[in-house]
Amino acid sequence: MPVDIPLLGARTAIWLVAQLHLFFAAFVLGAPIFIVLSEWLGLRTGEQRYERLAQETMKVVAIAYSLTAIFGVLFAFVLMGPYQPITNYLFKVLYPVWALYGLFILLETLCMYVYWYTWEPLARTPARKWAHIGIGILLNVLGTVVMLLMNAVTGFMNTPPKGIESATLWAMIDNAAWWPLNLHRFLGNVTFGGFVVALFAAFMFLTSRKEEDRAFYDWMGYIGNLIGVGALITMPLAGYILSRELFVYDAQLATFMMADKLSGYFVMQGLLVVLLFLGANFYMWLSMQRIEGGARFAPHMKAIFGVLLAGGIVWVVPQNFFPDLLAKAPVGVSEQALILPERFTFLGLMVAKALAVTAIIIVTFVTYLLYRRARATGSIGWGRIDPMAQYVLIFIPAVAIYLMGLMGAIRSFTRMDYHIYGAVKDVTPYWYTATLGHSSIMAAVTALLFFMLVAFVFWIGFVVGKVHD
Amino acid sequence: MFAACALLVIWGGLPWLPAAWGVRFGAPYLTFFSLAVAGAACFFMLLNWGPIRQPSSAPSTFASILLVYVATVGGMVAFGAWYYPQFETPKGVAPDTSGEGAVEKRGREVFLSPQFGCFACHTVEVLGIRGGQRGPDLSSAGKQAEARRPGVSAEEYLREAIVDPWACFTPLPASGLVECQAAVDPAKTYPQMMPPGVKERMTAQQLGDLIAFMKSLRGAGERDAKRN
Repeated sequence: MPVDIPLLGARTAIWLVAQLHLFFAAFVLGAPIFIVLSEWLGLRTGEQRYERLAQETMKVVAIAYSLTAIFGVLFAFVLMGPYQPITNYLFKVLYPVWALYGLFILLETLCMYVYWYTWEPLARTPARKWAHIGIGILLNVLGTVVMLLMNAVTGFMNTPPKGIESATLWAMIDNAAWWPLNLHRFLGNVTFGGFVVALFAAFMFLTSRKEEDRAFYDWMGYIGNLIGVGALITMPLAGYILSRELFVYDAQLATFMMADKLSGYFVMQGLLVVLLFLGANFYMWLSMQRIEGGARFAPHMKAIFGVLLAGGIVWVVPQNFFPDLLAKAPVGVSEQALILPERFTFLGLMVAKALAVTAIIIVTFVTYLLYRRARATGSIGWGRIDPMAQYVLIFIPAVAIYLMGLMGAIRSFTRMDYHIYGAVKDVTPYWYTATLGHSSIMAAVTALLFFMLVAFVFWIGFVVGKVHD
Repeated sequence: MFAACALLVIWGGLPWLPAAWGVRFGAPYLTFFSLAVAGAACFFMLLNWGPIRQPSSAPSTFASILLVYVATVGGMVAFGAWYYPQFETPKGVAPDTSGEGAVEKRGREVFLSPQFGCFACHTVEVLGIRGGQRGPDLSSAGKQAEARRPGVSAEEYLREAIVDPWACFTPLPASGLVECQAAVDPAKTYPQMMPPGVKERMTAQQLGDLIAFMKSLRGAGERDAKRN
């Protein structure tokens, strides 16, 4: 190992900067998808609030873009220091990918600035507005290409082609995990973008003093959450596809992930996803109350919460309490106490977990159907929502950001003690799989840092300006 | 009220059920269910909480937002730290496949196939295949199979152990026994947890390859000698 980072250690340092880079990257890639959609809806319907949603979110994206780049550079610095050998190797074997990445980053950045700074000049006529939407679509295409390129590198590290020495460049790019990762991250970015927009709206709602602003941010929070939940519902399937590819690639990964050192992470994942669904449904419960006559659906929703909680318990209940396959029961504790009793072993199997998650997804869908029903029969009082709903919109991104951090750790840990699985060993002192407790703390620290940075973005972009006005 | 009743059932009823029924949960599970019940009760209380007041000043707004965020993330950390006090241990090396013939190689693929999931319960330490620990380590399976049933060849014994695992129970290493046993004895044999229906799911070719792979497993010493 060439150098280590004092105090923090190389792994902690790279974990922090890589995760913060990814959080911001997920937001600046995910948010523009519905910014363009919202802009298009504004043009089509003539409703000003769509235009405002698009423009205000884009302002956040434009500021967040700089932070993405800053953490990208810091990430590169740490790679060049303690992780120089693996960085050199990746540059050597995937050189064209890096060259294209640089080119597309440049193009994407230019396009982002053009999109943001031409917003007003191109808003004067419908024809110009269409041109502006075209630039937005181009921005999304360029952003997606950047994501595909980096996913190729990430996927290559997880599932390099067999016979890596003689593999072609395309075989390295089109590795087993590439497309599942593309799908998973695309949907994840949309989910993340939606939830961060909801977070922004909650922040603005709570700091707004005008009725009309509160009405707007209430609506914006609802839309952000709707997008987040809509994409979230598809995430378990995308995650399943990614896991399946990893299992097919190397069967030992199945044990390592689901029964060995990473099994606890998946219990934690279950808990976090259940909390996300609970939060989303609770938000809808509060949203329903601002609809005239919406309270009559409360008994149905209580039944839905019952199903959600029962499904959540089934999903989260662990097959055993052993931290890994080699662990023995502590002294004085029988092994039987740490595994599910014989007649309930089915609770630990994927069949039960899959049924539970299916039930959770279905009842969440039913919640939205109830909301639609309520909307059809009563008018919505935007802005008249219980402020608790805004705290729910803060809770949901907190869980989502934390979840994303922890799931990223899982993907990284599936490489075990390799930088490139089965090919290039991790010879640093940090080759081992971190404990769930340790990873929890790291995910929490990165989530809190991200939250503070986005709070800064909201404050500098909106609150300071408003005070000045 | 519901939560109190549920907690009463969890701690006052479940631990006293006869062990033979196979429904007795250990203390960690009871704690887990109690946490779930407490969480559910808190959630339903929150549903009926009623409207809260919007913070009136900017500092109180920021403080309340930060509080929700820190409490959420802090709660996750507390659960993560409580749930699994995982320790850090080195993992096994990459599978050693040198000295394997074509049949054994195919058999190893069957062993590692997620379709059959042999590795989910069995480790082959000598090859660096770090699977589950529920079943015996198969590092010396080929050698042990020769002595498990007197008068029965290693190949026949392995076939029987895979397709009809209830015919004879594998002794635990600590028992000192060599031959397999006619009846299950928790003190001396592994509990029989082999999945049924292997014969129906596996083709004759796959079964043959798997047996050949098992037969080739003769412990570290012999394997190295053979390779040299």
